[in-house]
Formats: sequence, C-alpha cells, structure tokens
Amino acid sequence: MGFPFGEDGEMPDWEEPRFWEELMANRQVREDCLTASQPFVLHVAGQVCGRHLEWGRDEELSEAIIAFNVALDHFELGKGVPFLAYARLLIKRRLIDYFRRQERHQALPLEAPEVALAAELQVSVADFCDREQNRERASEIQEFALELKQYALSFSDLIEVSPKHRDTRESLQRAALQLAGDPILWAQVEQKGKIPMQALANLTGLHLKVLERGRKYLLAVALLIAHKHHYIYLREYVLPQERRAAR
Amino acid sequence: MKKTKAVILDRSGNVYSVLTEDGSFRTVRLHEGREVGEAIELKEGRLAWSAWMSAAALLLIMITAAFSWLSQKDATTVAFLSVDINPSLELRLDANSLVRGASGLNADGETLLEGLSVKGKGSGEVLALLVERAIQLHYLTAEHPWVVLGASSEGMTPALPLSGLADTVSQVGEKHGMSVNVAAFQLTAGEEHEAKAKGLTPGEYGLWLSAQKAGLTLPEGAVKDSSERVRILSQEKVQAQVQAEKGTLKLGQSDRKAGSYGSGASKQDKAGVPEQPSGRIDNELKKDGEQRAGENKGAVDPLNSVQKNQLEGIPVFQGDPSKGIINGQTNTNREQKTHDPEQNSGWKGEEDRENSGLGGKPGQKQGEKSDIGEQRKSDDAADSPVQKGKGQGH
Repeated sequence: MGFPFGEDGEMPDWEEPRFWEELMANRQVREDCLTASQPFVLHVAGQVCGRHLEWGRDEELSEAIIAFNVALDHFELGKGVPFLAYARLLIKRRLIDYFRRQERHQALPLEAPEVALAAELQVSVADFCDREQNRERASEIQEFALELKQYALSFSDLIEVSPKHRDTRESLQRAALQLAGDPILWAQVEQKGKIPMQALANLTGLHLKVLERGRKYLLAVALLIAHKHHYIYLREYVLPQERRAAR
Repeated sequence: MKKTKAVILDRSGNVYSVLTEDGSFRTVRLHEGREVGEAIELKEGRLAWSAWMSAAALLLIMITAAFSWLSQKDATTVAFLSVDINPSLELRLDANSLVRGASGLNADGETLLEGLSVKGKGSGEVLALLVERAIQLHYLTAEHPWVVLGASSEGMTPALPLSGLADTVSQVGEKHGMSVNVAAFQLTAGEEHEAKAKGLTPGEYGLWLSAQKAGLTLPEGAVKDSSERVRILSQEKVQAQVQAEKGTLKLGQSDRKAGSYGSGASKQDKAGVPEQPSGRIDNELKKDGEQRAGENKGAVDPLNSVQKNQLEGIPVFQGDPSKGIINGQTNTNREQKTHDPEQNSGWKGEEDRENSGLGGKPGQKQGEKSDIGEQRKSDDAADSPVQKGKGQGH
C-alpha cells in the first residue's frame, strides 16, 4: 500500500490529516483505501439489506462502495464527525435509493423514517447534524443492548460492575482490546459465550482475580471493540486512552 | 472545570444510564429531557469531585486561617512593661513574654531605643540591653540609680515575673560596677486603667500609689520626674510601702553587700579580705546555712535584732542572699531575719522569695502572720548569717 494504513494493516487512521492529503493527491492511496475498507462496506451493506452479501455477486455492494467513495470525497476532518459514521450514513441512503429504483423498497428492512431520508443522497458533513448522529448512536445502543442480552448482561449490570478506579478500568480496557484483537480467543468468546480467563491472563499479564472481578465489564468492552465496523460511536468511549481517536 | 462527554444508553424517568468518555458505565440524574443516543456533557461527576475538592480546600483555608488567627493571637500583646529611668519607655509583650514592640514615652526613651532591635526577643534580654545602654549613656548613674518597672499583665498567665526582671537589671548594674536599685510594680486591670487616665506609666502609677499610701502628699506628675522619683524612693516609708503593697524592691549591690551578708560577710569585708563573687558567696552561705540549720537553731534571737533595728529607725528589708530581692511578704518573715543595723538591706531564704512578692498572697500585709513564715522559722534562723557566724564560733 502507498500509505501506511492502520496498525492492523486494515483501514487507515481516519483522524490523520496526512492521510486525507495523500488521498486527494495520490490515486493509489484511494485504491488502497477502498480495498482496505471493503469489510466495513460489506458489513454496513449487509446490515441494510438484512442478508449476507458477496463481492462480485451482489449489486448492492457496488452501490455501497460508490457511496463510500463519495464519503471519502465529501468528508471534512475536524468537524466532530467520525468518518465511518458519515460513510455508513451515505451507504445506507444510497442503498435505500437503490432499492427504490429497483422498486423493491417494500422489502426494505429499514425503519420508515430512515427510508424517508434516503432521498437525500448527497449529505454534507455539515448536514450530518446532531439529530442524525443521535439516531446513529441510538441504533448502535439498541444493537449493543441486544448483543449484551445474548451474554445475559444489561446496562444495569454494567453500571453495577463498572470499575470505579481509573487504573483498573484502563487495565481492563487494554485487556479487552487484546481479547478482541486475538482471533483465537475472540472466537472462543463468540462460540462459548465466555471469556477464556486463564488464556487472557497469560496474554495480558493481568492477575486472574482482576480479570474475574471485571469479567462483565471486560466482555462488554470487548464486544464494542471487536465489532469495530458496527459500534463506530460506542467503541470510541471504551478504547484505551492511547488508542482513541480525537473526538 | 473539566466536562465529561457521555452518551445516553438508557433512561428511566430522570435517571439516565450513560457511558462516559473514560469508559465508565454509570447513572446520572438529568432534569432536562434527553433521548437515548444523545451525546451529552456531564458536569455532575467532575463537578461533584471538584465541589468536594473545593469544600476540602475551603476547609483547609479555614483551618489555616484559624491557626493563623490563633498564632496571631498568641503573638499579640497581652502585657505591657514600663521602664522608667530617666528615659521612659514601654515594652509590649506577648503571652510568651517575648517583646512584640517597644516605644519611647519621652525623648530619652526614644533615644534609648534608637537602633535597638527588640522584636521577638525575651523581655529579660531586652531589659538587660536597655539598662546596659542606659548606663553607657549615663542615664543610670550613682545619683540616679533607680529603675522603676511597671507591669500590666492581666492578660498573661502566669503574670510577668517581675522579680526575675529586677534580678536582670541588678545583674547588669553589677556587671558595670554600678549599684542599681529596682522598684517593680504589678498593676491590676483597674489600676492600669487608672494609670492611663492619669497619664502615668504602670511603674510611675505604682510608685505614686505606694507613696500616697506611705503618707506622702505629692502631685501625680511628680513621679514623672526622675529626680523626684529618686527622692521618693529613697524614703524608707515609701520603700516599706512598696514592699508591703507590690512586693518587688531590689537594692543595689553596694547596699546589699554591706547589709545583706550579715555579720559573716561583714567580718570578711572589715578584715580586708577581697570580696568574692557574690554568687559564690551566696552559695557558700546558703550551703553553710543548710548544714548548720539544726545546730544553729535558736542560737540567736533574730527577733530582738529586728526589733532593735526598727527601734533605731532603720528600715527592715528582707531578701534573698543570692537574688537580693527584697520584699514585704510578712512581718513574721521579717522577724526571722537578722539585720545589720548599719545597712538598709537584709535578706531571707530562697524559698521565702518564691513564696513572696508576685508568688505570695496578694492581700497579705505587714503585720499579718504568714503560715509559710511560721513554718519556716527554723530554716530562716538557720540561714541567718548571724547564726552562721556564731555557729562557726569565730
């Protein structure tokens, strides 16, 4: 790739101004960026369509990647809007418009208000107002609540167990980041619905008791971090300080 | 003040579940209606912490202020000590007898204080400095050998140790080969007020009061004149009254030497033996006195000696051989003492000094019998230089 993308070799750091300069000046950077962002586009498009999509087979993905490219063109850094949230909105609107054009809108899995907004395809960052961002966040929260439920957790539980001490909290956040970033451990979490504590203790170096005590918090944070294409807003709240993008 | 960003996760009435930017899940109460998904700025969390910190800081400030006020109070003037030589000046003392300030009450007083740094020093140290300077500047001379001290120390507990200060003055005089006499007066709050009303220093007022009681009729202003003070203080009946009323009268070394050491010391002087340092003599005398307390008991009749002195019109003073403080504790005490009829001074035991003057019973007058005096008859008799002389069989 022509530009040093994110640490994991996936999407770039959207908060890095140099990236946006390179993006406008170097076509290869844009190509690389679009390639790296395909999983995100696939995830968002799949959400909107309510089914699994495949590159080269489903036209929705072409519409989605076009919308993502438009988002790259219109995004303005420093306006307090996360790029992925902006890109997600544009992808959703383009797909809704696509469904309308295909006269398949009756099959839309989206809520009515979302559909009504779909007519505005070209949304500027300035137009991406608080109300729309709130709606995006609310959507993430709703999905997060459902996901927590699968692990027999609720917001009340998290409030109860949320570490009061900053150091403990940050330790658990780092542990959650490692857990979500480790494919094997995370696969175990998704399969068994439990955190492999001993393995995580070995990985993080944290005491088993610390991890056990913060189990619920650790799992909730790991869920937000692991689903990086989904919890665009919420994950920013739980990332360890050093990994957060400027909000 | 830092605000914390948070996103609303859930709502129940005005209680909101939020996820804050530091990754905490918590509940907050909000009075404005908010929706799930809204990003808000919390002031409560940090503010509450800040409020606690502010309260703690305020408390700390208040405690510091209180301590500072208390220490300030401690450092404030609680007593005044007037020093009248010819220069008159006033020392302001704190509860620890440290000098907080000094001011000249006349031109000479200001001259005496000129260039002296007195603040924060002990009252005794400052007094010694002042007397030394007064001698150097010839304010204290053989013609004007009196230093009048007056204390109004109602706010001080215990009261200013005037006897100790009188000792200091005397010792400085001795150091310069001068016989300095000291009359010291402790004023009550009422007397202090009266002194102020009359425009007199505590020392002057104390002297005036004693002179009045001694039967002298003199205008109040008379005690302001140093020559007049010397004249008044030289009168025996005034001295007797001073002792009787206010307790501390200290005569200079020359007077004491001749009179206070009694026959034993006198004999040495008369024989032309060089005078020993007074302290050493005092100690020896005291030791001898203690040793011979039993064997000398009743060897002489000091009462007769005193009575004889009184008959001859010589004022009887009692004091400490080492300290030389003369006071008017009781006639009973006085009766225990021997006395050289040629001298206007005398002395008594160390413990008597402690039980006399400021430490004695304030209401006790001449003629009244003191229990202490009674208890100490034998000791006093043993301490008597006359007894010592006789006991030694010289």
